[in-house]
Amino acid sequence: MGMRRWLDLAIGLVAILAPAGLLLADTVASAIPPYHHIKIAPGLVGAALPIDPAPSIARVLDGKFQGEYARLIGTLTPLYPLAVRAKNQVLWSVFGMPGVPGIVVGRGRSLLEREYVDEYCSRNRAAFRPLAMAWAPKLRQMQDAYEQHGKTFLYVITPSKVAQNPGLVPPNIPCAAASADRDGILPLWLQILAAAGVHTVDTVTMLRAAQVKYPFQMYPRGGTHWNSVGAALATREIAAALSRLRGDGVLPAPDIVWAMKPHPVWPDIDLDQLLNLMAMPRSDPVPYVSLSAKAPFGGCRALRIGIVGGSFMNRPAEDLALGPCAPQIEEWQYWSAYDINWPPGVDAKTGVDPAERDARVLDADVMIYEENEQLMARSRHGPDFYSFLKQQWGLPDAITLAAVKNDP
Amino acid sequence: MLFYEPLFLLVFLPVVFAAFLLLHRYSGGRLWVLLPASVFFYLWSEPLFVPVVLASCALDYVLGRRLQRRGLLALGIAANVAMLVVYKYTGFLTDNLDVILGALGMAPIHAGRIALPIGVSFIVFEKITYLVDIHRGRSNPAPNFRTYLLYVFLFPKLLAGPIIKYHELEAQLLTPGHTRLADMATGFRRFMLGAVKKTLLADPLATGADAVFAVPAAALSSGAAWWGVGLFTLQIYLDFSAYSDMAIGLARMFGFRLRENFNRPYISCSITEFWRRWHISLSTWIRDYLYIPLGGNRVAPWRIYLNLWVCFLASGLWHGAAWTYVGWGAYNGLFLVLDRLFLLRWLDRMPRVLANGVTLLVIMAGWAIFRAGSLEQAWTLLTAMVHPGQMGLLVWPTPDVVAAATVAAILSLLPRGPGFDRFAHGVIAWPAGLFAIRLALSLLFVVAVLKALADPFKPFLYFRF
Repeated sequence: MGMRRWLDLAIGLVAILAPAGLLLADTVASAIPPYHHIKIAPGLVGAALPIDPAPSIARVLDGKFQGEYARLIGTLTPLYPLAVRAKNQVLWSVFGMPGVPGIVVGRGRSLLEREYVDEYCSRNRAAFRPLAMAWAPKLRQMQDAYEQHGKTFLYVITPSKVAQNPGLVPPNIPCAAASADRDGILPLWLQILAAAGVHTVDTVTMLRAAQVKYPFQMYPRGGTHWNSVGAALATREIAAALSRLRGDGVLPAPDIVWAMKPHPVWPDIDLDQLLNLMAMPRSDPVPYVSLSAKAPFGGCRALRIGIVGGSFMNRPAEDLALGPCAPQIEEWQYWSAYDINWPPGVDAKTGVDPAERDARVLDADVMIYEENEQLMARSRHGPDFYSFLKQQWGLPDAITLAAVKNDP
Repeated sequence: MLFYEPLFLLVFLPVVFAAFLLLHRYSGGRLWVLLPASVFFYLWSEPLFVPVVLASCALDYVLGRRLQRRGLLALGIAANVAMLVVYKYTGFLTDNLDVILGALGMAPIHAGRIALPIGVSFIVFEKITYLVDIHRGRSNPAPNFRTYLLYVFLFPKLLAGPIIKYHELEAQLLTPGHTRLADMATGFRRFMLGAVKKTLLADPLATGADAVFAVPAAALSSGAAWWGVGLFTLQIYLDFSAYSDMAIGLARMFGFRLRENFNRPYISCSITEFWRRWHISLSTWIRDYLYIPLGGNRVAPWRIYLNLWVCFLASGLWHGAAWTYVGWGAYNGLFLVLDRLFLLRWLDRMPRVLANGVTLLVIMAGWAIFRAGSLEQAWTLLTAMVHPGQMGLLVWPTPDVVAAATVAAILSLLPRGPGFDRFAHGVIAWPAGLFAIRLALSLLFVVAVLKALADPFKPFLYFRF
């Protein structure tokens, strides 16, 4: 057999046997502590933990074990992170597409979350109204319950990148909602909240008004959350609202100084990281803030702040924790997803211990409940929180809202 | 377990191939590697159906040794067809019977659903060829049960063909000889080609076609309807031919030569020619085991036309238990009859490119029926296609789908170009050209494997037939 044929055979054998060899080596290595799985490329961001297939006769006979095992085996190979990143890089570089479901490439290569785009493009005030009319009284009940226990309750609405920048929605995504619905849903909600007497901080309108005063966008290209200036402005609003409600200045509103930095870091690149590419996309400079506030007249008091909401509250929580009176802040993301103490912050987040959470939620001096405008009156964490308070404190009777007649 | 899944690529194939390399030179070595591997391969996917197949194979084997007795051939065929009907058509038959019973004011039957085993249609057709080939004197009964089992369970062709008639494989089963390294290399290259076609072309095409067919047909614009049907036309060819490439390649690696299943079907200049180039193993099975027993070309013209139409009706039903498949079969049968009557003469008078274009339109209309979720959806889709001004939803194509469609269209239609065969042979005969093709294929295979690792599960179209 000639040299070329031997070369053919060698290439074929390597192609067949090398991946299996790597898998075998990885399996052996991971069984020997303290070694971990061999990684050829950086680990994947946002990858779900592989399901451990549980073999049983029934699950083998109905094929479920085989399906789960087949899905698992690929994720165990050291090639897996490389394969995912390489595939995503080709899709991104050659076709300008994300390889990750749930991310949309908007105009100017700005990254958007699909669920935010879908929500914005399907807004309907008529469908929203009954949900809002049902939820606002419950927010008032939660607020009254906290106030009856001598505590403070504040409802915060945070903005959506898509709703703040609808021009980013790419032309290939139909955006059927009428502009009256897209723009009118928030004012309707604010009107209903006002009728219900809920203490509200509207950072959506605040941010839109603030945008014109700054020479940069309040949302980074590769991130889904507001940048640190947007978050700091929200922190100021929240601190001011809490001071008004409490009648003390224990949470002084900070002064904001910002500077542009050429290389954004997390969370301003959270969607870029979620793309799981071989090379991060280039980003424009992003502002970062330093905050300062004076200690209140009369000195600081220890304050425990609880936050139930989503990831938009991470930065405001960090900003509040760095204030002169350093309140103790604990955040329960989406009620049961993550438990984050500030400090140290999101790097030290843990799973939620329900018993611990239940005690501390009732113990907080201040409770901030947050909904992003993408979820307002429709969140899953809201009803869970409401049910808990009802069970623990027995909530006051719900108010009856008069029909909110005039659409804004 | 599909051929491009990590479990197959990284575990099953290396283990089985390594064992084969070690043992194939010994007497019986090939059988004792491939038979347990093939049975395990099918057990992995269909643990409950394998015992049924084994029992059915035992019946075939016993009957095969006694076919000189009257009625045993009919019994064997009936037993195999019954297995197919029970597993594949029970739901379809009872649903339609319930409609009739309901119309008559009677209570419905409400039969439970039976899970459709993967590859059942292919397996049953192959088992029928064993019995008929023995009866016709074309083959001898298998010398032992394990040889017959290997014929039925041979894993490269088990799930989605090609449908290999027993007489085509008999000699290779009985006198295997040594598998040459050249065959292993050639087989692996064919396998690589299939993997590249499936993961890099067929899968993006599937995503694009699914996006169109997910929209209610009445809401589609004419352009969107054409786009969706066009994508599916390319998808089904790339997907199915890719599987056949992998099956043929794997079989060659293990020393078996299987017949080709596709021969550039989209350059056909008539439906008659199309069915000589598309799913060749099925169309020759229909010819040899259905059309010829019905009389073939030896009966009166009206019987020929009826037989043709009935055969393709059966072919449509073989593809699936739904009226759309029956409709597609009837549609193809109609055009085969029309070819006999006048259409073939008419097309033969046209320039080849024009005849090819007309035939392609007929084929695409057929695929619209095949892919639709119901006859109503098929009708609505076809109506949209023939009304160019029809407004409706545009389904925005993504760049990867456009790229895959472009490459797939070129691959499918380029052989129609003048001098293509001469050019292709010239490139292959040129050592540097051959090296370049093989290098490109190897690199694309690496990309295909990485994509297969990274992609979520996407099954082959034909593996549920």
